[in-house]
Amino acid sequence: MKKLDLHIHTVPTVSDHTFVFSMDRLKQYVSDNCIDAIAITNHNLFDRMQYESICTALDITVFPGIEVDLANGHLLVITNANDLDDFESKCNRIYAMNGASSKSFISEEEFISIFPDYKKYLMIPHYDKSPKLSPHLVPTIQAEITCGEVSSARKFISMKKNTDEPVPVLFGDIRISDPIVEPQDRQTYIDTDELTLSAIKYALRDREKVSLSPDGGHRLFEVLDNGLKISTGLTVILGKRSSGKSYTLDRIDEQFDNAKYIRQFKLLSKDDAADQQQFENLLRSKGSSIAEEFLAPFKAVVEDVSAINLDQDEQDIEQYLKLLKQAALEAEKQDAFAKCKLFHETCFEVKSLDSLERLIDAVDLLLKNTEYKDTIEQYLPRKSLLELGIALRAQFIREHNLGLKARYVNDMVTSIQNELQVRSSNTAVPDVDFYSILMNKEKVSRFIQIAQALKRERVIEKRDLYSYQVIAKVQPYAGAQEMQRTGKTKMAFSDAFVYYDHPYEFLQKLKEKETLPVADRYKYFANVKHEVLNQYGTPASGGERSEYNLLQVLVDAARSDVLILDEPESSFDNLFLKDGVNTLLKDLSKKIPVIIATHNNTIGASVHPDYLIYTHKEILTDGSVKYHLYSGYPSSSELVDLESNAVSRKNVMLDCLEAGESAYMERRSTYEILND
Amino acid sequence: MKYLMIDRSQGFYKTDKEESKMTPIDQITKEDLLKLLDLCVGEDFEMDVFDAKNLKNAAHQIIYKNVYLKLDGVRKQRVRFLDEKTALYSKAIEEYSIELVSVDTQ
Repeated sequence: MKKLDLHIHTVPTVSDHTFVFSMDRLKQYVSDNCIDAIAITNHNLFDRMQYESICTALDITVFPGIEVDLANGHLLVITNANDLDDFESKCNRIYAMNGASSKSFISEEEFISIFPDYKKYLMIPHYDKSPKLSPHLVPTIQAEITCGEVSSARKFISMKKNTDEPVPVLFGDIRISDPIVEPQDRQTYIDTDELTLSAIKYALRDREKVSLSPDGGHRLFEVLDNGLKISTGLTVILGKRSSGKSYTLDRIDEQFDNAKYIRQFKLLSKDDAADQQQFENLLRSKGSSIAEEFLAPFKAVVEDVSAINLDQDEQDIEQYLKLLKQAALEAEKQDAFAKCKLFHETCFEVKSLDSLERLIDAVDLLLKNTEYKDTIEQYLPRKSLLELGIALRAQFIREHNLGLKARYVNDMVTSIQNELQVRSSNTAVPDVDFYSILMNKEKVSRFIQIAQALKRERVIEKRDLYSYQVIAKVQPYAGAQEMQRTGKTKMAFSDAFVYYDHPYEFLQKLKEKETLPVADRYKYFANVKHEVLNQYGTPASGGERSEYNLLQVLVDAARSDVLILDEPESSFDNLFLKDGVNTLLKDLSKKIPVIIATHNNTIGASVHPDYLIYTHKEILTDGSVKYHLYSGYPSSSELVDLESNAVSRKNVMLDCLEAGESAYMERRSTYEILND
Repeated sequence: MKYLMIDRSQGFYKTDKEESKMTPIDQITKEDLLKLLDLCVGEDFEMDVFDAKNLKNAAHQIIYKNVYLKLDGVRKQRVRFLDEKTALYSKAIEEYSIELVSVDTQ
């Protein structure tokens, strides 16, 4: 990170209070604040002699500049140190028009007539600072402006978060005089290693590359043993085919235990049915938690009802009645054992205390709750609640004791009956739990009602992922094949599906399938389907499914330690990459390092990488092959390899992303003609 | 309404509220028992209390006593049964009965 103040006044003008410039104070300002580069930007004038003396006196980069009164606002225009002759003459023309009055402003047209090559300068308008340069008053040069000056750190932070606004910069706007009044922390850190105008202009296109603190940007770290570094942000790897890009990515992947590596073509989806099915399976497994959450209450019902067998209940009653009648027939010829009263005795019904236990818990909950204590006590005085708690417990103890006694007696009765029955020739009447039989009937009736309601068609969840919408939908199964898909099994469901509209009978058929896990039975009553809809609300096509796959992977990648993408352009079109992927990659690179190998200018350049790596294969004279790994900041003029060999960054980008400079120029000229 | 009755030392039953004629208890079937089971948790269900002295027919005595005690056991838990019935699978019913976002199936 380099610390810059590109707005410094050294000459008093009609727009300033009177002050006397002090070189010593400038040196002190630069030294005290550890500034790496400054720009001299006086109101409507450029004092070349003073500028040159400042350059001599300071050992940091000093850019020549001017603050132009333009369209009722102020615009900083900064150029290269080797542009002094041309810049001085242009600034003199500005001075002639604006220099005499602080209320004189030139128009955009006049500005362009003086600076026809305005694109080559770094232009920084007063954006959220008085006097503000309104963008609509300078529509032509506005297209070249990527950043804007603000007047406070608060505004800087707010503007940096807002992607609809230009990249913020905060500078001193200081008059260097004796004594100097130094504003606190009014410099901007820029993520660049070179201090050239082009490097700064490049960095000021990306809000992630500006900060008010030195640790605000990304740093480099060594990722491979050979010394190759990557950024903690976004690193782009460029290089021709077979130059070692994928090899480098593989080696980087090996360095991380939890890397997300998306290899070339991996996410490509086609239009065929198999591919669609694979996609649906992916969605299903992705959305399984939604389905499970939705079906959880039903799962509990199925588990409970699975234990019920109405046929068995009926048989039990039948057997009970048969033996009861048999016993009745034998009534007149009872033997000594059967004549014992206990022989025909029925057991006590032991009452369940579940509801009483729940009541006691509910009272305890009311007593222990502190969050809503006041409201509770407004209606239920604490004393009454305590008394209720005690009374319910006393009742519980009474009924529990009764239950214990009843069980004890039942055990005795059963034991005696068993012995009597062994010795007697008379028929004993078996014990049947009428209460359970009655409750089972009720449970089955409720289960049927729930199972029918469950499969009513509806959307249970909608989730947006950029331009796509993922919906989870419940609907009845259309056939046995769909059930097979749910179970990811080859098990036949056609026999069960016949009973699909009769939930209890259907459950009995599922119970007959021995290989079907008991815990999975609930899944076959309603089909939870997942669909991805495009922005028009229709199901995603093959290409759109690929896009969705990539977006989903990128969203999930935030949980990885690093994201590695190998030529994503091989599967996607440029518009999607520009509008859908670049922002996501940028956001992701704030959390984890992102490395992308690409040939595509939409990814390689428009994404504003933080660091560049260039792989190059050199065939040596003896025929052997040597691989080079050049690297550097995108703002640097050169990329340097591990043996300190350098290549032009511009040439690398043009060659790898634009098929060379001539092709790029030809394309550019074609677009200009089409534009005309 | 009385569904189990002792008359002239014999036990009788019926499963239909509208039916005035009672059937001897030794003719009871399993279907009848299931119907009585449903009826015994209802509002209007009465039975003659089993008393061996009033039931001279030994066969009737055994059947009546067993059926009476079984139904009486359930009857005594009627409140519990109705509470449990109300709470039965209430979470699932609530979950699936609420109409969520409807889908245009077209």
